[in-house]
Amino acid sequence: MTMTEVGGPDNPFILVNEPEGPPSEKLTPWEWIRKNLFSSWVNTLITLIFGPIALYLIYRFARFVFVTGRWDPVDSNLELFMIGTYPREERWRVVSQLIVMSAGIGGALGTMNASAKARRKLTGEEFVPTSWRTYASSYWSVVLFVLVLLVGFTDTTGPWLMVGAMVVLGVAGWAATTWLPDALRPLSWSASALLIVVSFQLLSGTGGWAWFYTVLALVPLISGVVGRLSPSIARMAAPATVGLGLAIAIAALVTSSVVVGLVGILVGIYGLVLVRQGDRLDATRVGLIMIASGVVTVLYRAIGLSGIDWSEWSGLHLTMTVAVASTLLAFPIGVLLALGRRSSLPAIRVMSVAYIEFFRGAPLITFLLAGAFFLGFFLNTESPLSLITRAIAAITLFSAAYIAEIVRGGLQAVPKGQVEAGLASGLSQPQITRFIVLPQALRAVIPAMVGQFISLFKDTSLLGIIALSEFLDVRLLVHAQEDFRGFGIAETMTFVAFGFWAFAFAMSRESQRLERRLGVGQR
Amino acid sequence: MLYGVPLMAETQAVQATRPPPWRDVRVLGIVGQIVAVVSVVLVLRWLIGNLFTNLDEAGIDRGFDVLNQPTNFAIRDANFDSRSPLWPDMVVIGVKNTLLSAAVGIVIAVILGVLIGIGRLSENWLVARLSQIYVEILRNIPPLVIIAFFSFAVFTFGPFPPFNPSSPPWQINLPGTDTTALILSNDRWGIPSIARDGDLLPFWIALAVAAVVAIGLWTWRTRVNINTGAPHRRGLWAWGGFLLIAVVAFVLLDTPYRWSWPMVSESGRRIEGGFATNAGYLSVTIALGLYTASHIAEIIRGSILAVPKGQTEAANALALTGLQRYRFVVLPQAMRIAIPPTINQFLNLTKNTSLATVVAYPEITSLVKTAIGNGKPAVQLLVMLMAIYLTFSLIISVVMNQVNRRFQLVGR
Repeated sequence: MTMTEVGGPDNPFILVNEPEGPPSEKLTPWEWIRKNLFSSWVNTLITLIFGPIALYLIYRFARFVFVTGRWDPVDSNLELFMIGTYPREERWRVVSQLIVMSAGIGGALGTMNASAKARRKLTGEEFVPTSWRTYASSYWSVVLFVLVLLVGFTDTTGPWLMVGAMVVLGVAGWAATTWLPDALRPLSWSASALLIVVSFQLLSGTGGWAWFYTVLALVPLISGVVGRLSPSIARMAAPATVGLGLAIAIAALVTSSVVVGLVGILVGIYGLVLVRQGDRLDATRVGLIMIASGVVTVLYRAIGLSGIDWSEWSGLHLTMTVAVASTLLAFPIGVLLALGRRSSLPAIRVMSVAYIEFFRGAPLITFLLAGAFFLGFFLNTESPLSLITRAIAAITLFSAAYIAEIVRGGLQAVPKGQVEAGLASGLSQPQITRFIVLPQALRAVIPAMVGQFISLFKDTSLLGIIALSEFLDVRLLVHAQEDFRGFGIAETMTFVAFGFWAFAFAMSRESQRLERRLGVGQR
Repeated sequence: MLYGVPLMAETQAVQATRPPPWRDVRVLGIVGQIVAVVSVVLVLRWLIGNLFTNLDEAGIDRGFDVLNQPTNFAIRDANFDSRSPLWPDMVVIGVKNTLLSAAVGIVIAVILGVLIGIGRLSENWLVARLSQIYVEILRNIPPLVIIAFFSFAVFTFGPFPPFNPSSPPWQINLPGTDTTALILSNDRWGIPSIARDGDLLPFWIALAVAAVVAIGLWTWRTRVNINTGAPHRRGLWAWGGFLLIAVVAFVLLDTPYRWSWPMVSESGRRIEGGFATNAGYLSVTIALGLYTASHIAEIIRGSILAVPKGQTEAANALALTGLQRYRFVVLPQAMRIAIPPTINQFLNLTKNTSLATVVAYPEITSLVKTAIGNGKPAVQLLVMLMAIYLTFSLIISVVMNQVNRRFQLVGR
């Protein structure tokens, strides 16, 4: 395996093959012990002190898990931990959401893999597929968590069937997209993304996901306008488009109804019309998704499949939803803020800095409380906003500031020569930003972004403070039950900690892997 | 300018043929800024106008005078009853408690973090593994979960006995004496503290003399070093002299400071003497200390690894011993990398003390939340709360800039 230089121009994911260390020397177990535990007298002393401590800790932990721990509170409330107070007769929607989504994610991964392969073929480089071992070293904690749930805490076959279906469909999606002919690949991107969008719609029915549409709508608009029009107009059009996007966001927030679906269709068509050349493909995909999801919304409306109001969502499901939704929403805002902070126009720079420093200066809990107590006062809404909407708004505004700082780091890392080369090629400022600076900056900050996503995921545990029953606070419901009052607290807390840890750990491993793979800090 | 690169239109050569205003980059820039500022101002005006209208409609006072009214709730373990005003009494207690928790948490985090960070690089496989496991576990669990774990699983429903007349707490004596060293219960702990005893003035004068002597020793050793080239060892001399005089004065003046040992009161309800802490404080401080230690450990490890290998090799070539290599070559360089992110972690820890709301430790955020629950106006209180945290951030960033400047002087 060889270290290769930066590969494809636009795929941020497959760039450098994993670097390989020198061949490791083979040691017999005895030599290994001598080298690593007893190489000097200090080393021996340390081993003799810490060895018994480690053994004792392992013993106590194993005893707690397998012997003394009384896991009935978790055992009889597993569903509560997963979906909280979500209406039980609508459970099928969550199940089908997960299954459809895993097909979509499988498809997306397969497509990514296939396009990397195609690009390597084009450049004549050797394609090294990511091995199962690499995936396993990143994701074993999640697999362990799911296995613990299935083996330890379920008595029925339902969950087994669900996980089985998720695995089968995920692999099917991966296989189908991997072996699809090259010509059809754009379609497989769209299809995978569509599956993911529709899976959320299964849950929301017609309402609730107004935010999600809006973000998708912003993508073709921004990528369409910035860099397409002549520089002078683009300079004014770009902020105007952003303003329009934000206006749609507010409108969508206030009216979560079929109107949102129609807005989605219209914006999708607009994005298609707007983008006439260049990376038409991206915009086509997003436009197609928008139109399709709008159609699905209207269809649901027609057959009377109403949404589950998301004030009824709770448990791990709520935790995940809030984390994903806030990240998706915060990302574009954060990128804009970072560009604003690096802008040459002083007024825009000052406003961006003020926003970023304000939101980074105070802890998230103050913004959550503000959201819960008086966000509604700022907007003239007909009906009060749901608590979850307020929470997502607070977390989004908060993490946008952090994302902005991360992206700024990436922007600063782009060499000046890149911008100069762009100017020399006669590109306009927005074009340079869109095609030269941003792709390099964003690629460099992917690991840090994953890190930010981890801390956002961990921050969702604060939702309990404003009386939302997320994964951590389900324990309050559990211990309010007659049987479990003041009993098994250490066990439920350990279970919750394990749940958070499993996902956060997998993401941090993934971020380390991306760091190595993208060769950050090696160029 | 675009990312620091001057644009064509901005250079002298092009000025002769300036484009018409509607295509002039500079004119457009100014117009764009005016549009942006005006639209932001308009949106803010709309939002704040809405806020005021809605507050007035709901009959909520929007002045800051309401903060001077009594809070109508009491705070345990503090000189504060329901008649005390929110501003400044409650705020002072809250900020004090925030800082108390943050300061002790930072000490725990630094000590543990540095040990574990170095432990991860240990040649001993076992130590390296244990440190890695610690970091990978603690770093990936939300701090709130750790706080709640300590508060509920370790204290409230943990192994410790309740504290009331019918069930005395655990009291651990100093070995071989009747003095209680530790009082442990499920909601309060008593630990020894240091209390003043008698007149302090002579002792402080003695300390001042010791400081002068220490400075004198320092200067003398420095001069010896410059003149003769002998090793200065001025730290050893100065600190040794200072400590010697301080200890002698301490003994001669009949110990002006004494240990104050905690004791269960006659009624069996309170802790007398020592330093009494409650479970909320302990959970927040210990949990945040442990959590932040995992981050600091990563910073330390990263900084040591970031020192180029050639530096170590050069130190080896100069025949420095292992300890000298660390003390004079690796650590000074690693410190410069490690200090800014570590200070940032201190700020994070301070902000994270706001999570104490879930365990009823009366720091500023939980007091503000209680006050809002008692019908105080949320808008003013939260604005005040954000202002307090912004002040902390501002102070930390000033400190950070100073530190950065100081450390950059050393460098290239």
